[in-house]
Amino acid sequence: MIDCKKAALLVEKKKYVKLPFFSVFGLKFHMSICKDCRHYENDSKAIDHLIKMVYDNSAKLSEEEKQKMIEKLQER
Amino acid sequence: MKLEKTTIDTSQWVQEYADYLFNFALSRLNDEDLAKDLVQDTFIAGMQGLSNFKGNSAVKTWLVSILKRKIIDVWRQKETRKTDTFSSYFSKGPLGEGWLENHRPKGRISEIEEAMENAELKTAIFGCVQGLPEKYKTVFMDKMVDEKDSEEICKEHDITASNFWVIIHRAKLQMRECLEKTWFND
Repeated sequence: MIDCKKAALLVEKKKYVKLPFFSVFGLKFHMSICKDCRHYENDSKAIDHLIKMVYDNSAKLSEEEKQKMIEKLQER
Repeated sequence: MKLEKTTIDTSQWVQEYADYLFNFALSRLNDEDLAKDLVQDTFIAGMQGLSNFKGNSAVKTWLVSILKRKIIDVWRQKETRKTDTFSSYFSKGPLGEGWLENHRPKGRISEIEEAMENAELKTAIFGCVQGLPEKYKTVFMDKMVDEKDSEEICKEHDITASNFWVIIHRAKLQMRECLEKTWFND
């Protein structure tokens, strides 16, 4: 039997790896009877989405700032 | 002669790697000025340690490893000043046989998305990531933000695959709970 702790872990894992059949089955069954874990899965997906939006890695340094860096390095 | 070559290389470093390193630092510190300073320091340290660079990794990877150490130093300085941490969080954890009464997920996090334009939300998410224990934070960021390969992360942090999943799982539990508490004020 899969308990909530295991279910919450599998919820994360299955986003990245293919789970073995018995885990898939066990998780599905657990989810069908556990509202808390269904909520957890929704929350978990929402967090993934939020993180992607917040950390978009699109910041850029201006050419001026880069020039400053180069100058500082050349001073050395 | 050697010095001249070094100078040319480092000027290319700035053009090639500055933005990447800046984003890396910014995502982990949420402080533009500090991120810029650390990038500059990283280039300086890289230049000074050039003789130690064996060339068995890409320059970028090597510079990132220098930057990572600097970021961890900043975290540690902040850690000592922090009063409200989740450090005791996993001595008990939100899960016993089932979800403990005050820790039960309510499935409300998706409601937060609507406030995405809100600067407060960014601060909340950032604050929650910062609250993670150091090891969780580095692994979580590598996976969730940089989307690095799990095996690669395990190698870098010298952890087993099952250890890796436990870290991701626990970091996520803590993030979820922290966001819910911060955002919904309960």
